[in-house]
Amino acid sequence: MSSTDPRERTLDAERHRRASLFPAGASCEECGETDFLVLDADLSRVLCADHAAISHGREPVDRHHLAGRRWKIVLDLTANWHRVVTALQRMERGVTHGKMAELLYGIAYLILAIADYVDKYEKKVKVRARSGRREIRPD
Amino acid sequence: MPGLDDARYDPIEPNIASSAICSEIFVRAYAEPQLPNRRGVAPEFSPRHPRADSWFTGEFLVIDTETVRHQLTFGAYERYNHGKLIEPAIFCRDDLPTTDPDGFATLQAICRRRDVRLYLLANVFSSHIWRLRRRGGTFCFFNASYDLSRLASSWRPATAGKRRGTRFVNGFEFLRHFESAKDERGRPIVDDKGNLGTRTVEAPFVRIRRDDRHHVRYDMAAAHVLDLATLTHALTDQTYSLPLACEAFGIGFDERPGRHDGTISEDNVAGCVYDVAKTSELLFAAGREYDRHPIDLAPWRAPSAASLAKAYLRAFGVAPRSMVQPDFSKEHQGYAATAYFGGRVEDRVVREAVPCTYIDAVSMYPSVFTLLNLWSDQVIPARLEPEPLDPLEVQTFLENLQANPRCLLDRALWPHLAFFALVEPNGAHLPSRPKIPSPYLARIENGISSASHRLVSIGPLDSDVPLWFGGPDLAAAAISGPVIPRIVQAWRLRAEGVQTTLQPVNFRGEDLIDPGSCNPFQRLIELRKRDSGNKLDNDLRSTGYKTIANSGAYGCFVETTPEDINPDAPPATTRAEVWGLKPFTAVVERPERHSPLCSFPIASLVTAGARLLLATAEHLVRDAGGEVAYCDTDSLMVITRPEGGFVPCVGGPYRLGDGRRAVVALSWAQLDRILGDLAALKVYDPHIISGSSFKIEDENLDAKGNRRELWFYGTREKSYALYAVNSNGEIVLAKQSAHTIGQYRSPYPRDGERQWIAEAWIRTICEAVMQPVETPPWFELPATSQVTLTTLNLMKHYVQTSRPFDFLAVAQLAYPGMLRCCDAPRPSCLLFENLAAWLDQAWQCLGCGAAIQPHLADTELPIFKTYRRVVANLAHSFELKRLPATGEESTMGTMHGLTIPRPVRATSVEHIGKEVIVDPTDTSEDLTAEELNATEPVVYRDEVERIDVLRASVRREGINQVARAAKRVCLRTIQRFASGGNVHSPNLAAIEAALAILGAAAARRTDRDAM
Repeated sequence: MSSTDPRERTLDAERHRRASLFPAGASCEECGETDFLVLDADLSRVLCADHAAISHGREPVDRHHLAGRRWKIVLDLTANWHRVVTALQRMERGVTHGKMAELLYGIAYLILAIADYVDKYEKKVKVRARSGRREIRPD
Repeated sequence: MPGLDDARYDPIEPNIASSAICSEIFVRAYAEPQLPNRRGVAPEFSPRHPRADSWFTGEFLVIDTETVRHQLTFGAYERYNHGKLIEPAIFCRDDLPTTDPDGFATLQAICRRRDVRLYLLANVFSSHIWRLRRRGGTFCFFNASYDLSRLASSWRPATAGKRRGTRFVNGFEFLRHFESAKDERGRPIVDDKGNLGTRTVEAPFVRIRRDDRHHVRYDMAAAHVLDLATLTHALTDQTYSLPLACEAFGIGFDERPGRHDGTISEDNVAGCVYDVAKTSELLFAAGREYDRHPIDLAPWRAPSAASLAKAYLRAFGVAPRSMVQPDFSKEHQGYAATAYFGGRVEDRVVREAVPCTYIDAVSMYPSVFTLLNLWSDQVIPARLEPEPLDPLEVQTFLENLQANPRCLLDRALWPHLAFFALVEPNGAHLPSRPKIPSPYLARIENGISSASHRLVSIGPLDSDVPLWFGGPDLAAAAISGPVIPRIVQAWRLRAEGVQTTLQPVNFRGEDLIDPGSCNPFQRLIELRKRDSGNKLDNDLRSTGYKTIANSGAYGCFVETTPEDINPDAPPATTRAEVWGLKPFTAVVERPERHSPLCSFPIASLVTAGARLLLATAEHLVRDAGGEVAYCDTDSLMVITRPEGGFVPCVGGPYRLGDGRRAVVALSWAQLDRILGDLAALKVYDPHIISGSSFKIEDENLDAKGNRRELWFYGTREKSYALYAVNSNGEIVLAKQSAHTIGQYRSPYPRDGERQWIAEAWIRTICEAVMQPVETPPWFELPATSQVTLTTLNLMKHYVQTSRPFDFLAVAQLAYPGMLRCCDAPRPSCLLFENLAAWLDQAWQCLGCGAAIQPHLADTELPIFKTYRRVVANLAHSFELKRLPATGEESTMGTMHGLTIPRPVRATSVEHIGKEVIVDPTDTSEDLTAEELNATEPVVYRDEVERIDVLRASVRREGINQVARAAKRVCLRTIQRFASGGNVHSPNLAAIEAALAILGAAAARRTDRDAM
């Protein structure tokens, strides 16, 4: 995710915005998730969307309209995933597309969300690997 | 009482001191400034706009904040949609987690225990405030300005704008600061290398301005701001705290947990949540009451009961005169404006305790409005045409009245009094607005004392020029004094047709009123007494109907609003066409607009009618040999004793056997007979409202409802107390005025009942009647007033230390001249609770910002006026409108006992506009030494006359002399002006200033020569 395409930086900009809604270093009390996009803004108990749903006695699953209301394609996504894909969809709020383009954009957002997750995952792995290397280094 | 039986009539022949006679008077004028029409087109009347069933169905966000030293700590909100609670939540300021981690952790724990969500303020903005601003919704507060100010990151002065004009200048724009990684279109900010950029945003979320009438305006884009303190005031005409407002609308307000100190604790958070819950309940209770009124006025646009009255007039289909008859004679509006005076307020018996009965007219303004038949004759007619009356006939009518004053007890006569006449007063007792020199303070400027008061007084009037008066005032003059004015010219308004837009309205959704067949304001006074079997409903109807009737029968017809001016813009002048004693053109800096409903004939007749009703009652009292001790607009304090007799009173017309002067006190039975006579003037259905047109007030009754002997002690207008003496000989206050003394803060903490004012009055009365008094512990503390930072002018020296709508403590100097930092030195500091800590405060001048040492240099003497002086002023001030019975100039030594009216011999008449409360920093020290709410009117001067006078002065002083004094104007310009040419207004102002300098220098020379 290092392209200059503004579309691909939307999640970062949204993360930046959401960061202002939390105290520094906020993370889910249950799973340690630190992505501000998926953290619930209720600070009485900081939880990610999945665990917030569980704490309210709900299944952590949201129904996602892949390509808006014109297509009747609905996917079950976890609440955290749904937050990410919705943030991407909101980027195009107010812009109208043709019906087919809307479907393709919907799929593209899903792929972008996966890419974002992978990117995040890879960065985490790298950090862990680096810290691991440091740990096994003799001095 | 010794020697009361052998009193003889021995009236004092007054010898009026020439210095006591006023010579300058002011009259109101009707003016139309040449301003652009706000809407761009001539306004047209449209009766009632369609409206939704309820104003309270959209999205509402009810917010309350808690602060420490005026800085937000936490707050709570409840979000409603269509009346259903969507989300209650608590929020805290954004930096609380970093600046007070322990407090934040406590707040988190409290929220977890209460199972309520906790957000940062940023989230409230992000989720609700920006959204509602964009899409519409209503923010609801109890005292909105303060809470909105706490939500802001910073503020800046509001400026004039294309959309909002100058509506918010001298007000504030509250800003929210945040870092954003998105541009204005919501796209990420990405630099050339693909890195995410950010920008700092300072976005205004609300503009606030408190106008001259203390109405607060808000601009929140598509959202509305509803202040429940304002809405409950508009519905009931009472000023409430949240608990009292809840009580008035039938909402239980139990013991609120916690305190309002803003610290984070279980109780304080519970208290904040409780306040929000109660505010929400109040919102919907007041909303239900408001929705009952079938008017098209949104609740967030209803600052007062007058707004409701105007909306009802629109609902009735009553078109404003300026719209239904655009050609209505402005000349006659002007004549009626000069005859317009407020209510009659005067203290006749000064600084002497007398026994009295307190009587009050039943709904004075609606009664007079009905007696004069103004609804049918002046409000609803399609056209009103001025019709000349024969001056001789009017003169004869007044002479007949003088011969037989009891004619006025015939209701059928009153509609004939709805006329205006130009008169030569010839010493008749008529109202005027004289300039009375202040006996208290006088700063000498250019050899002239600048301190004076403009007061409406009624007394012997003479004038070099004939003046206009309303028929009721002339009738009052005929029955009050020996002289009848000479009528020069007279007219009345002839009604033609009835407006076709009239329609019946279901008042408050329950009382059908047809404006074509009855006077709604008379009907409202009757309907307010209807018993629906529900106390809350009865109370709300009673207060609501009364306030709407009072505003509708008078206030709406004289509404005048000063135009907003931009203080940052260079001074500009506006030409105004003025109609008064004559039509002329004037140039003013701050023009005023009359409302479309403005009708000076109605306003003048209503207030004149009220004065006549008082004069009629007073005549009956005098006829029975009695005296009136005090009167105020609709009430009289009549000197009475249970069995009647003489009451010792300095200045009284009788002399007792022991040499003391006395007045006659009527017996209670005599007064009851007078009230019986006055019943003939009652305009309401006797089956609904029993009794007379005046009623004996509850203050005259003891706890068991029996009549008790009440005593009056007063010093001047609006400054009096009524009290009874209990079986132990102690003074028990029944009613006390808080005028002037009420400007000061109570020396006691949380003194909601203002007990200290009662103590001050008891002390004053005890001293007057020679009873022992104890000195309270707060006597030597500086007396401070609380001032809210409502305007930019007030804020200018507190920018660093406070926010808009914070509070200041403002002290008075013990003596004028103790500080000379600026023209109006006014010591101030941030509001502090413990008055004993006054020495620890950082005092600075409110006007110029200079630091102030609270002691006189090199001494321990405080420079502030103490409560001792404030309490002493209660006894030491006196009525300026009146003179001692001997006719001497009024001074502390002479003003005692029964007084006589101050005569006016008018040699100059000046036209003025409405008096508006001015910013304390804009007024000179002498004007506001006692009062922070000083008023100033617009003065209209004939521009042609003014230039002629200036030109003559230039010629008299010499062109070269004036040119030397007026440094910025060249000799050639002055020569051109002196020879009759025109010059630009800045040059004209410079020439005027130069002439003032030359005049002052001449005065100084004369003084030197005299010495």
